[in-house]
Amino acid sequence: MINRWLRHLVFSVARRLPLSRRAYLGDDLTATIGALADDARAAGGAPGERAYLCRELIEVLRNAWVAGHGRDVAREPPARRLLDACRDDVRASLRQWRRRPAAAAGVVGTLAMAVAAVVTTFGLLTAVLWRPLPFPHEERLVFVWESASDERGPFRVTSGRFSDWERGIGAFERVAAFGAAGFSLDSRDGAVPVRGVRVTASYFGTLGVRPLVGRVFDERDEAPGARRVVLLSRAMWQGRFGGAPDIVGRDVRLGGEPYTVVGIMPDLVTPGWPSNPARVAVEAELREFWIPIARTPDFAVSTRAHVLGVVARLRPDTTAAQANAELSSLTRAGDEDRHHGVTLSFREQFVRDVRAPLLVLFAASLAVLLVACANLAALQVSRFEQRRSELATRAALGAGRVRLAGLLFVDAGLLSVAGGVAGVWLSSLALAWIPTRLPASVPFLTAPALDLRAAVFAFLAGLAVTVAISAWPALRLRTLSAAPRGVSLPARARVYRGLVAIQVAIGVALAVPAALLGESLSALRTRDPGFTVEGVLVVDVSIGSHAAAPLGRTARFERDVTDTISAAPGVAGVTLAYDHPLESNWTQVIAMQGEVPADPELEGDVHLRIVSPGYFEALGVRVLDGRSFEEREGGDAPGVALVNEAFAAAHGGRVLGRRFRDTAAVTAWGPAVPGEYEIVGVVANERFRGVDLPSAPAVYLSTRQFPQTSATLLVRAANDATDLPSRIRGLIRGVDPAATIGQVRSLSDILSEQLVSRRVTSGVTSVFAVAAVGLALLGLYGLMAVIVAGRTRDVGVRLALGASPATIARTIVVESVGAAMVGIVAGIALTAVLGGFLEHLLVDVSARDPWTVMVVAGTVLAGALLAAAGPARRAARVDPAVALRSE
Amino acid sequence: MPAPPIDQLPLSVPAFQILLSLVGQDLHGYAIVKDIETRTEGEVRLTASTLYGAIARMLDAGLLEERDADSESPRRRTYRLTRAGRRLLEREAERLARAAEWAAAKRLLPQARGSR
Repeated sequence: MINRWLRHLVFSVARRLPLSRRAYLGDDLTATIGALADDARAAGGAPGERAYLCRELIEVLRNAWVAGHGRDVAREPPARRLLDACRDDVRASLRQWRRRPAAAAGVVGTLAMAVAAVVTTFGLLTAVLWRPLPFPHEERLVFVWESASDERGPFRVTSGRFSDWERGIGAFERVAAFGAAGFSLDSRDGAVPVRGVRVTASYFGTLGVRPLVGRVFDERDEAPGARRVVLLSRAMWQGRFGGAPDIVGRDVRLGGEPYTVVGIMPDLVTPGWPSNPARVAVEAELREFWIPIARTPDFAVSTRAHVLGVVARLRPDTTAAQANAELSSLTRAGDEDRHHGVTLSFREQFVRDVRAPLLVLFAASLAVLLVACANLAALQVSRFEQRRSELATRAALGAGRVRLAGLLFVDAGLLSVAGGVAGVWLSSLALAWIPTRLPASVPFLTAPALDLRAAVFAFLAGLAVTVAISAWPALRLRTLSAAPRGVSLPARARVYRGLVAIQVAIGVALAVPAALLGESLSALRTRDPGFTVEGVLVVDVSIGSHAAAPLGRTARFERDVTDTISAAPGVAGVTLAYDHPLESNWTQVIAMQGEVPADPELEGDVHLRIVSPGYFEALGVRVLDGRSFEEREGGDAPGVALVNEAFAAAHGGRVLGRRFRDTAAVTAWGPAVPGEYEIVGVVANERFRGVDLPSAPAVYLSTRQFPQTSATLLVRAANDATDLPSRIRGLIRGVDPAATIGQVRSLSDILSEQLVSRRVTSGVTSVFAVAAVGLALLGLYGLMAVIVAGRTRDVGVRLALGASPATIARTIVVESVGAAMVGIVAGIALTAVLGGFLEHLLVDVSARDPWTVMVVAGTVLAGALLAAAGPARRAARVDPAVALRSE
Repeated sequence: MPAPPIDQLPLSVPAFQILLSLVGQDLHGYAIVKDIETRTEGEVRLTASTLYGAIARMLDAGLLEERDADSESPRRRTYRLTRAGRRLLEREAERLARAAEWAAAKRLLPQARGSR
């Protein structure tokens, strides 16, 4: 089979061998090849025949290749011959390019940029989407969340439901829960806040992570009243304890209590700080330490507090689908919310937010590469026409078509290699730089780098470029002998025009999404989040545990700190809340009185916001109905609450005067806080889930009735108070020297961090779009220049016959606009087709927004006019006498 | 660049062997390859494309001429050495012989082979 195929191949190449002018020699040649192949088969069987055919094939190709050099091919060693031919081609090509250094630099630079863009985005893509996660058998790791039957959620898990899963799901080999932990750590600089993760003893075993030093937790550490133990992160051990070698076994004070260090964990991205809907944080600063979750009697039965994240390792012989089936069949009597469990693969959990932006970037970079290819292909077409006479001479001297195609291929390959090498170098720089510029919330579970996959990809991209830009000239070789020397404009202009239209189309198809992403970003930036962002500083403050700070002291601290700071110069407003509105993370199940026990899902989770009475005024949150909290409504007064619009809408609109129970509050505080609250006001929605998401239902309780020992201080700075951030810590220390004080940050910084993925996507896509459109317009300019050059004589005749220069110029401009229009229409069609992929990244604008499309089309058309201006002027200035004499 | 003529000394190995095979006998292409292979005991094995590349140029240079197709296989032509071809071959052989003598004078060659 292979042999027959080989024989055909050898024959068909041999027939193209230039053998003097005696055509019949070709027949003799193939007949001889056949006879020799038969002999080889007789002597050595099929392998012998194959060996002969391969030898013959190499020889035939070599003869064809070097025929153009007109040497006695048999005179030199075979390898030399091939190398010589290649080297000659490279030299010829270099000579050509050296004559036009600016053009060469432009071509290589264009390719380098395009290749760098593609390889860089590919590197990011592989790092985030495809590289194995650093856990053994990561494919068996899943997150497990609670899911309601409607579109809300998935949610964090209650400890009761986790306990059910721990016992009752056969598909899980191991399962572990984790939650947030925040403490103050006694250190040399006073008390500093540290953040870590509360985990069940099974946590590290489930993930398959071992400690650097010491041990991980076991069941004994979970027992209530067991000695307090802690695992430190390597970073915390180095940063806060100077890498002390004897740290294991020592005690550290967290939240005023001694904890014994049992081990140090390596720098691994492990999940922590679960939040709704179904997110986990990966930032290193939220992973400074781990402590065991205490298995109090309450733990196994609590179904109110949705605060845990759950990870599970599937048994080797089971699938996630089996686990899901088990999870949805496992319900228990008396469940208040009828949630069921649902799994999400590890990778899916980490990448789902960044997959779409990354794919958009990758597609955009591919589009840029395509435009660059089309651009260079057009350039090669016109170079081919300029070299036509040279190539024809070579052909006349005996160079075969294979040989000349090789010449063109080497010419294009040289550009690709130079551009590719420069591009890969640029992208290696970019890949090292980019992660340092992105916030820690971007889940680089493995650092991006140029790996083998990226190298193979770069090579394939380079090969594709080479083939793409040398294909057309190679096909045109057929016309070398047939066509007369000189310009065959119609055919050339048709291809050229096609290539330019492709560039314009891709440019438009890239510019429209870039514009839409930009519009979405600015829509988000100008969107009213429902609270004041400008000038607001936030700082976490803690005065110790509930035990250490009785209610009276907490309330006094709040009043003192508010008074002190509001009296300080440069402060326009100050208030306190459990958490700031861009980090609202406390969700709670509440029970509305008089509401349908038959539909318990409706009562589900609400965001719980605990704020000072002055919060709404200080942060500019509008009270739409009813009233705000009052200072005098303390713990002994009847419970009052405000709710947001989303809550009111979810409960039938009229909520003023209605009451709800919050049993969890009672559990945590005992009889010191009210267990029941009356809704006294409705406030405008704060977009605390992020400005790009709709508001969730929320209830607001007053710190006067529900005091917090840890809270966030929100300070609105006056316009000129640039030194306020540096003064705040001192002001708080003045009120309570023992307070734990976090970092002072501004809400606008936090907001812009939330938008970073959108900002990067939009920014990079814009750069790509500008590059693509710019290249397309350059291509258009080139096309018009070629057309004008080819028409000199034609124009001369028309001028001589009385046409005005203005008419001539107008035809050129019209032609340019026409060529651009074809591309624009194709580009708009492409956008319409691809728009769906973009839809969910867009905010307040449709993927087919006519205004955006029109503005992009108008801009490209204006560019087309500009590109035509130079060539049109040249055409109008043709001197008829010179033009008619020249040809 | 035109091809350097094949009728210049020194001859390439394939060219020399092809001409040598045609001394005293007219052969077709396949027979030339076989003759060379037998005579050189497999040391020189030409591929068909190298053979016909050389034949084409030798025909152009007038070193060979074509004979009518032989009766067994009408598509194949046989080739005969021309006077010019034979003269060129003789000059090449003399050149090689001289070269061998010089080598022998330096005792590079065993005596028996030198005399053959």
